[in-house]
Amino acid sequence: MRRVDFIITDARNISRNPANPNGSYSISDEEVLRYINDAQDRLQGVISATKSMDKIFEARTAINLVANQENYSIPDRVFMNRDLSLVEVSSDGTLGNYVVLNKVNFFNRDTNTSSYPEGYTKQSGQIYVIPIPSSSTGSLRVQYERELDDLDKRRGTVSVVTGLTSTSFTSITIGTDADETSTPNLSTIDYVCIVDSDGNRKAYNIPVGSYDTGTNVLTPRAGFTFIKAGDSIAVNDYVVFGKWTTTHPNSFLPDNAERYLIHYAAESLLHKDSSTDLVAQNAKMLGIEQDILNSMKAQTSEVQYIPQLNYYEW
Amino acid sequence: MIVGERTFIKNFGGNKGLDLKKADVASDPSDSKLFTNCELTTNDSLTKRKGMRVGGQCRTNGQNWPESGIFTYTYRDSATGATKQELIGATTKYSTGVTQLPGLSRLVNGSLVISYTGGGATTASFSFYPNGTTAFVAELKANGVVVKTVTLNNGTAIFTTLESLRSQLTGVFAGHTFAAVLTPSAQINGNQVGVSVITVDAGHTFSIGQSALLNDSSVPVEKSVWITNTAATTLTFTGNPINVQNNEFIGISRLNAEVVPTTIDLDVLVSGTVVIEYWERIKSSVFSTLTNVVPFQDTTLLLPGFTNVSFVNSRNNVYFSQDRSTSSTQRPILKYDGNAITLAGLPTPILATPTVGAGGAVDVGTHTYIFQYTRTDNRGNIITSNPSLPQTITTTAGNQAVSIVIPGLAGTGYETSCGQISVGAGPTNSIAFTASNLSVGDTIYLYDTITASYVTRNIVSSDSASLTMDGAAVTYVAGGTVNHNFVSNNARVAIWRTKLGTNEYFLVEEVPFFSTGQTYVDVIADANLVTQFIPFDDTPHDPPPSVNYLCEHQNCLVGGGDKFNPNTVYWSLQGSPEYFPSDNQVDIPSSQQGTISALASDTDDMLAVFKPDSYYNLVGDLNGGNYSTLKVSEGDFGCPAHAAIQKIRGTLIFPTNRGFVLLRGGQMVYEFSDPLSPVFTNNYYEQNFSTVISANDTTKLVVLRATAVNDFDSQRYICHIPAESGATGTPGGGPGTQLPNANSKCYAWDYKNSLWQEFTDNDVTISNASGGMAIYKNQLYWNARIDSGGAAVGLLLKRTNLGNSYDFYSNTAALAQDFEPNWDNLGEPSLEKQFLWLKVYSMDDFYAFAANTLTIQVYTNYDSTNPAYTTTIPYTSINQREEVIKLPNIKARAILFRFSNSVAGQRSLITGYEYCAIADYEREALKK
Repeated sequence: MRRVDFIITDARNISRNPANPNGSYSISDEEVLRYINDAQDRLQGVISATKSMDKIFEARTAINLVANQENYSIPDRVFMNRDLSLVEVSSDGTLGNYVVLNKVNFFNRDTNTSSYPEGYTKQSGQIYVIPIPSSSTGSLRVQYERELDDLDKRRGTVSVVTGLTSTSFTSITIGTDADETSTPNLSTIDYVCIVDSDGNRKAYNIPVGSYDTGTNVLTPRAGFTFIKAGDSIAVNDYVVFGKWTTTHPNSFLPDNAERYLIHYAAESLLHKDSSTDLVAQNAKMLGIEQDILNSMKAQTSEVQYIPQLNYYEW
Repeated sequence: MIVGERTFIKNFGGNKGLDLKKADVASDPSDSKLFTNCELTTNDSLTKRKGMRVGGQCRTNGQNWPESGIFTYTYRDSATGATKQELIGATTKYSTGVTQLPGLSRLVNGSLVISYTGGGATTASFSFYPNGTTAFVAELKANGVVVKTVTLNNGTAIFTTLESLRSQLTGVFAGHTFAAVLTPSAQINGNQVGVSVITVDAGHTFSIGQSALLNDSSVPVEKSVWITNTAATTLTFTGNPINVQNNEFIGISRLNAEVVPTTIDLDVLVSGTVVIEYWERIKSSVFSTLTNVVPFQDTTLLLPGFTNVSFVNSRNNVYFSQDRSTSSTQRPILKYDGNAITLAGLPTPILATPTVGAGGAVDVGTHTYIFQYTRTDNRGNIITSNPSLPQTITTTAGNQAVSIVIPGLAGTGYETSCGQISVGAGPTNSIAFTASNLSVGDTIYLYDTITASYVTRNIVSSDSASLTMDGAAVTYVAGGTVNHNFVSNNARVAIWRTKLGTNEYFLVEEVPFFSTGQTYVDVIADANLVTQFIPFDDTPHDPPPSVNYLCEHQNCLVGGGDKFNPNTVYWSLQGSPEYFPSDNQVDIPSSQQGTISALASDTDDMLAVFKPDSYYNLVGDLNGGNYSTLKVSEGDFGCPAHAAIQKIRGTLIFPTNRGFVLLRGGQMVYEFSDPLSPVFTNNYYEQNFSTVISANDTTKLVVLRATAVNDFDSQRYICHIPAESGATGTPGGGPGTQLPNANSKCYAWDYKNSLWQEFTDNDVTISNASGGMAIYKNQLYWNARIDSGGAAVGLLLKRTNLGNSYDFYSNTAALAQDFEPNWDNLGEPSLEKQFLWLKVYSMDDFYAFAANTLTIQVYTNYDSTNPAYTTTIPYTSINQREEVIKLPNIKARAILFRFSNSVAGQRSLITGYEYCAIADYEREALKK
C-alpha cells in the first residue's frame, strides 16, 4: 500500500478538506491519521472476527526460557493482547525439538519446576508456562495475531546516528525536515519509531529522553535498549511518532484495504463537517467494508482438509 | 430555522462601515466592528488607506514650526493668471522663551541634488525609504548594487541633520564616487559678531528672497532670517544683527535628515534632484522681524480654550484670526497677501489742526482737510481707511502753505515698511536710505521726479541702507517738504481738501506713508486739484474686530468668538473683507454661557452660529440689514470645534460633544453618527483653566480642539479628535498643553460610500492632526502636535502617495489594516451552526497589485478576544481572485471574521467574502 501521506491526501480530496492558501490545514493531518488508524483497527477487528483459516495477521516469535521464570512477555504487539494461536516449546532451543504446549486453565497453574514446561496459560498479554522451567536452555515459540502497526507521517530524516550498537544507540540527529511544530512534535512526543523508506521496521518504541530544537539531536531515555534483536538505525531512515508506528500500512493488510482506509477517513471528515454528503459516503464506506469481509470469509480455492492437531498420526 | 447547507455572500457594495453602537447579538454583518485604516476602492473593494510620514521640517533644536493650524492659501497669480497654492501654518506657542516665535510659515521647496561622478557604473540611483520599524534609510546604488547605506531615525528628534546626510552621501563607495548638494545652504566662514551680512564659504546655494534657518549664537537661538542680498561669500539679511559661529550651517542643512521624501531608485547617473519641502517663515509687520515678538496670544498660552488659528481665503489673500480667549488686548484679524503678514484693514486716522506757513500756492481762504491711510497689497487689492475727521484752516496771502501732521503706525501691526532716501540720484535702479526696513518681496511706492509722478517698483535686493529695484530707472530726491523722499511698501497717505467755496474734497496728493509719522506741506492751488473724493455712503471702512473664528458668508468675512463680546457676530462689507462697519454686528439670543465657538455658512441666506452645546441660525441678508437670529437649540447639539467644520456637497459636517452631525438649510441630522455614539457618550472634556488634567480625563475627547479636512480625492471627511495629556504624556503635565494622547480618535466619513471609518496610527504621539489638516496640491497634510521636552510643538506629516508599496507605512512603521464585519448569528443567536468554508474574493481590476498577506481570524460565540482559528492567505499573484479557506469544524452560535494586514509596505484587497454554514444537530437546544 502507499505511504500514509498519500492516503491522507486522498481522504482530504474526497471530503473536500484541502490545504488552505497558506498551505495549512484547518483539520490537521494528526486528526486525519486518527481516522485512518481507526479504520485500520476496525478493519483488523472485523476481519479477525471472521476467524478465517487464512489468518492473514499471524506472526510468530521465539522467546528464550529462563530458569525459574514463570511468565514471559511477547516482544511484539499481540492483537487485543490475547489472540495467540499456538505456543510451542523446544527443550534445548533447537528448531527440530519444538512441541506444542497445551493451553490449560489458570487454575491448572503449577509452580513446581521441571526440565521443560508442558502447558501454558495467559494473562494480561503474558504467557505463564506450566510447570516452571528449571533451566534456561529451552525456548518458546509463539504464534499470534499481530495487531497492525499504527500509521504516522514521516516526522524527520535521520542524518546522523551516534553510539550505535546491536542493543542501543546514543543519539540521532534529524535533518531540516524535523517536525517541531505539529501537535505532538519532536519536543513533546514520548516515543518514536524508526522505519526505512518503505515503512519497514528499523527500531521501534524508542523512548525520547530529550530533543534539542537547535541541533535537532534526539537522545533516547537513559537505559534504553532496542526492544527486539536486529533493531538498528541508519542514516536516511525516517522518524515516526509513537509506539508501534510506521509510514506504510502493514503488508498483512491487503492492498485492497487501502480504499477502505481512505473512505473511512473521508467519511469521518464529512461527519465532522456535518456534510450532506455524509450519508452517501457512509454507505460507500460500509459497502467497501462488507466487500472486504465477504472476500475474507470466502473459502479460497485450495483443498483444505479438516484440521487435526497431529494430522500425521492419521 | 436553518435547513441544509447555506452560503452567505458579503461584499462592500452594501457595507455600512464602522458601527460601534449595535449590540453583538443584534448586529448586522453588513456593519463593521472594525473598519480601521481601510478604504473602499472605486470598484467597491476594501483595501488599506495610505499612511502619513514626516515632512516639511521634521524638528530642529529650539525652533518651533507651525503647531496651531495649517491652511491651503489659494490665489491667482496676477502675472500669469494661474491659480496657485501655498500651504501655510500658524505658530502661536510662546511659552518657553524666545526660541518659540509665533508667526506664519509657508511650505517651500529646497533640493538635494545627488550625482554620480566616477566609477564607470552604467546605472546609479538614490533611495530614501522607511525600514518598517523605527527608521528611514538612505541608500546609494551603483549597477544595482547597494554601495552606501545611511540609517537615520523617525524624524521626531534631531539625530542626523540634512548636512550630515549630505556629507555621508558624498564620497567614494566601493569604487563609485557620488556627490550631494543641498539648496539653499551655506557654511559660515569665521566667528562673526553683530552682523547682518554674514561671511560664508564660497559655493553657497542661497538666492535672494529665501529664508535662512540659522543659529544666533548670542542667545543662542534657532531663527529664520530673510536673505535680501547675496554675493559669492556673503549673505545679507534683514532684521537685528546677530552672532554666528565658524563652520556652522545656514539653511535646510540644519533640518532633520528625515525631511527627505520617500524616494525609490532615483536615477542619479548624471544627477538626480530630490525636492525637499520645508517650512519658511513669512515676513510680518505684526511680528516685526521675527525678533520683536508680538504673539498671537498671551504668553501664558496654556489656555483651556485654545484652538487653532482660523483661516479664510478671500480676495486673493488669507485672513486669519488671533486667539482672544482670555486676553483683553485687542487682537484683530490679520491677513497674508503672499508677501507679508499685516493687520487687516487700516485704522481711522486722526487729523490734528493743520497749520499755515509762509509760501505755497493754496488758494487764500478757508479749506477743510481730511486724509486717509491707503495701501495696495501684494495682490493688488486697494485698502483705504475711513477718512479722518475734517479740520478747517484758513490761509492768507503769503501764508499759503498748509502743514498736515500724519501720525505714524509703527508697532501697530499695520504695514509700515518704509525708508527715507538719504541721497538723491537718478535715473537709477538703486536707492540709498538713511534707514529702511523694506525688503525683497515688497512693492515700493516712490516719487519719480523725471515723470513728476508716483511709481511702483519691485525690490530685487535690499539691506538696511539700500535697495535695488526692477523696472525703468527712477530719479528721486532727498529731503524736501512734500514727502517725496519717502519710500513705502505701497502704503500711502491720501490728503484731501476742499476748494474755495465748495464742500467737495479733492485729492491733494497721495504720498508714501512713513512709519514714525510725517508732516505733509500742501502748496497746491485749487486749480490743480482734479480727483474728487467719493464719500463712503454710510459704509465706513472700520478695521476688523477681534474674533477667534472666521468664515465667509454672502461674500463677507464673518467673525465671532471674542470672549469679551461672547455673543457677537461681525461681518464685513460685501466683497471687502477688511472693512467692518460698526453696524455690521449682531448679538445672538444666547442664554448659554461661553463664547461663540464656531461659525459656518450654511446656505446663501443662513449663517450657522454655534456655542459648544447650542446652535443659532442667522437668516437673511446681513449687509442689507434684513436678517433675523433664530435660536434653534440650546443645551443640545452645538459645535465646539470651528476647525472641524467642513462643507461637503452643500452640507456642513462637524463634530459635537455628542457625535457628528449634518446641517443643511438649518436642519440638523442628529443621527448622522449614531454608529459611533458609544465613543461620544459622556466622553468629552472641557478643560478648566489652571486645572491639571486628571488621569480619568485623559481618556476623554477634547472636541474643542478637533480638526478636520475634506479629503476630496478619497471622498472622505476626516476628523481628528484629541484626548489630551500633559506635556510628558501623563496627567499632571499642566493644563492646556494640548498634547494628543493614545486615546485620541480619528474618524473618516466616506461620503461616496456613506460609511464611517477609523484611522489609527502606529504612534498617535507622532501621527496626529491636532495642529490642523489641509489638502495642498491634491495631497493630504496633517500637522501633528507633539511633545518636545515639555512643550507642544508642530510636526508636519504628509500622506505618502507614490503609487507603490511605500504608501502603506505609518511614518517608518507598519500601518495596520483591520476590517471586522459584525457578528453573524444567521438570525438564530442561540442555535449552533457549523461553519465550513470561507471564500475571499480579490478582483479589483483597477488595483495595483503587490504581494501581500491577508490574515484572517475567526471568532465565535461573541468572544472577540480569543480567535477560534487563525490563518493567512499569501497573495503572490493578481490571479488569486478567489481563495478558499476550509474552516476547522467551527461549531458556533455566531461567527465573526477579522481580516487584517499589519505588514509594513503591504495592503490587502478584499472585494468580498462568502461563507458557508450548515445546521448543527441540536436544534432544540438554546445554548450559551
